[in-house]
Amino acid sequence: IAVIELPHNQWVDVIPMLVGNVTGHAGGLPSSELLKEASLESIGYICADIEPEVLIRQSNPILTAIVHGMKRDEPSNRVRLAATNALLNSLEFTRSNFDTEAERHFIMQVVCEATQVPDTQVQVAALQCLVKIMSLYYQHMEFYMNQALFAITMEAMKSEVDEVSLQGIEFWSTVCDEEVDLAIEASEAVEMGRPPQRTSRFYAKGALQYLVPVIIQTLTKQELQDDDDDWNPCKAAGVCLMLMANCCEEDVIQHVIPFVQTNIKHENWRFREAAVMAFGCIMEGPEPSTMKPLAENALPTLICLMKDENVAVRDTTAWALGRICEVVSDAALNPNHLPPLLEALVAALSAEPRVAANACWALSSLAEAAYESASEGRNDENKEPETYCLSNYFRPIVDQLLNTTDRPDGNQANLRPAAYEALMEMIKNSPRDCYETVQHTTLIILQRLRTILMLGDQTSGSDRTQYNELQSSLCATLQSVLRKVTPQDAPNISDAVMEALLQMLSGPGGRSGGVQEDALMAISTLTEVMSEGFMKYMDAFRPFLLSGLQNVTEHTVCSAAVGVSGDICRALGNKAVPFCDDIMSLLLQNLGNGSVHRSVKPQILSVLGDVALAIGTEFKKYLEVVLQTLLQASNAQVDRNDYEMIDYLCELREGVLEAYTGIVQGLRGDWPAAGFPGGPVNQDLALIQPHLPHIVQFLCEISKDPEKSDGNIAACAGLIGDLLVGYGAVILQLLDNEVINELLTQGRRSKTGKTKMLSIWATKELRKLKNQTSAAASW
Amino acid sequence: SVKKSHGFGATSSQQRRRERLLDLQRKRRDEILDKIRQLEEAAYSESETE
Repeated sequence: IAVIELPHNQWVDVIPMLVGNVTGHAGGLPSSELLKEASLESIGYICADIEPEVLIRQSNPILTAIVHGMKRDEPSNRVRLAATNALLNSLEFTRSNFDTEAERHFIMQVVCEATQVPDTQVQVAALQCLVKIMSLYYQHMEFYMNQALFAITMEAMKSEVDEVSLQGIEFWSTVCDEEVDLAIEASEAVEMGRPPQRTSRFYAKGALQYLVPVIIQTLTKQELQDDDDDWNPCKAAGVCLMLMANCCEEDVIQHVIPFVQTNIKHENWRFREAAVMAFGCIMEGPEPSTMKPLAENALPTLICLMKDENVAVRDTTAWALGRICEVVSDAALNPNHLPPLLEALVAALSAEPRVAANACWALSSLAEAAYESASEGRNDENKEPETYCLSNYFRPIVDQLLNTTDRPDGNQANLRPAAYEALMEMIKNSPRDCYETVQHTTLIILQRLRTILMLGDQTSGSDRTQYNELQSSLCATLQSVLRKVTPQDAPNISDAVMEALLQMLSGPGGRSGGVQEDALMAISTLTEVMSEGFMKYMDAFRPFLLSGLQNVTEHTVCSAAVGVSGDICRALGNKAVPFCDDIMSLLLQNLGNGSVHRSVKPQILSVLGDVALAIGTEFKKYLEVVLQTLLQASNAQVDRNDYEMIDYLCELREGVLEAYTGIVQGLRGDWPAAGFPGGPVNQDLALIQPHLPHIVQFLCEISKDPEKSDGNIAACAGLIGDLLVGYGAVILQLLDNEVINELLTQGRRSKTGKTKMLSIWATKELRKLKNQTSAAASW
Repeated sequence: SVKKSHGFGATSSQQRRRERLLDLQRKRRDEILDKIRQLEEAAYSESETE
């Protein structure tokens, strides 16, 4: 009730009343233990749920009550626990108290004392407070770190009580997280030539020599049964070590590698597993060039461990191999190691589901790295390499992955989706000499789709979930093979593919958002492959497209349908005209509909541009309503304190800019007839002329926004260039100003190729036009 | 846990597919615009030469 009423300035005495219950007397008698406990719990619940700014002005009495309940001479552990939990919930609005040294000292003293009480629950709650304080008030912690925090948390990490040990580890994970963020801030500050706002004290680096031995010791305390959902100190230690590697980079190596070397062949499986785990954890963070020789040295041993008698060792080894394949792929692709590595990974696909799922991941990373390495230094990056180092093994790997997707235990450890995902990555990253296997896989996937569609009506309950998941995986695999099929082969399979996809959309699976989305995404790919040839499927597909566009409750389906709409326009060009009335009507309806998820709206705006670009002058009939919509969208404002909303505004603006670009380009018609810069304005383009002042004002507003994205600059530059080419002298006066020139200068300095190129082009167009105009004036 | 950190699950796979497709759609849109702009520039250069 307080959470509802306090923001409206009602029940204003609730906090003083609760505080009084804790610190004073109730009804003339000292408050009872129960009353104090209940009052502190109430304060805690209110603090947890209320908007922090509502209580900022009451932070002092709240803290007084909490500290009163936490202090050393409080006899009741129940009261101390309620007070410590209340502190945990109030830390976010006590910033001003932390900024004042005396108050900070007092709070820290009480919290540190609470970590030492014998009651485990109070200890855990106090340690949780330290974790949160570290995250919120890192900059104030130097004094306490030396005096107390290091010793308290080291002791906690070593505790035999899991809950206590977990909080000790969590504290150092938080320190690493903070210091990684601070390192990013520092490098950004250097880039921008200014000092950073906050600086790192490098606590993790300084404490590594003490922390790593404790962490490693904890890694050897594995549970006998590995349950993915259980969180324990051993798992927390793994995460902490990964964060330490990310934070301390090369420095972590010297503290970890001796343990790995000594224990990787230990007779006790716990030490072998811990050694492999520690090695896998530090793979990312240090420079890959530093890790490469270490990984190369370890590979033969790790490959042997894939046959270890203990399943936990095999599981962690498969994961560590995956880490090497992902992070230090050069070591894995070394011709001496690659054949035995592949052999071990392919064999692991038949092992226990948890081992096999990790092998899938490793193979997928390996395929990506091999493809990238074969594409390096090629002139035409868009063309596939002729061959790569996995070519000789490609078919057996794909066959084994297909077998894995069929395993009866594929529903365990996420194995089936992992195997399909690996298959997709293999196909996506395949060179030309593997094309035959791609064709072969296409036929298998199609056959599987047909088989599963026939089973459709017979499934229910959890079978239904698996059935839908399988349909999604098959659709996604189909998408990846379609992307590889040559334009000559595409028409040979497109009928069968489209028939299966339509059957899927109309069958029971089509009622699931996931299946619908994947089917629509596969159709997106088919439109690209088939180009104008997709026209023959439009009559059958139209109802599903329109139903997808109307699916506002499942925004990912709606988004996929919006994407297909743009794809159809690109594929069919002006042959899309007969379908545009329906599509445009739903797109515009969705833009004005508050129930449509906001993430779909920028995409819809871009697709308006796709439609305009495709149907050219036929777009005129939608022009007025579209321009009004764009005017509204370009006036959108967001809360500048919310980073997510700032990102959203950037996306929305980019969508508006793309829509204007598509419209301007589309209405210009065929380029040779479009005249020349400085010449008369095409009569269709003249229809937008009344909107030009607003469009330029929008460009200027974005230009002046310090939080505009690089993508915004690129889209602005593109539109500026298009406007100059389309309107010539008519728009020169509007665009030739300081704000626009500043934007183009910023774009020319961008690190993104596209932004730079578009900004240079737009600047050239601007200069060209200025020269022409001044030459004409001189006559 | 650490071993789950590679995010090789069904949900994250679908998320990756979404992002990949959006990227490809954006790329194709840009390619079309680039082509138009290059043709326009070539046409202008030709008219200048004439």
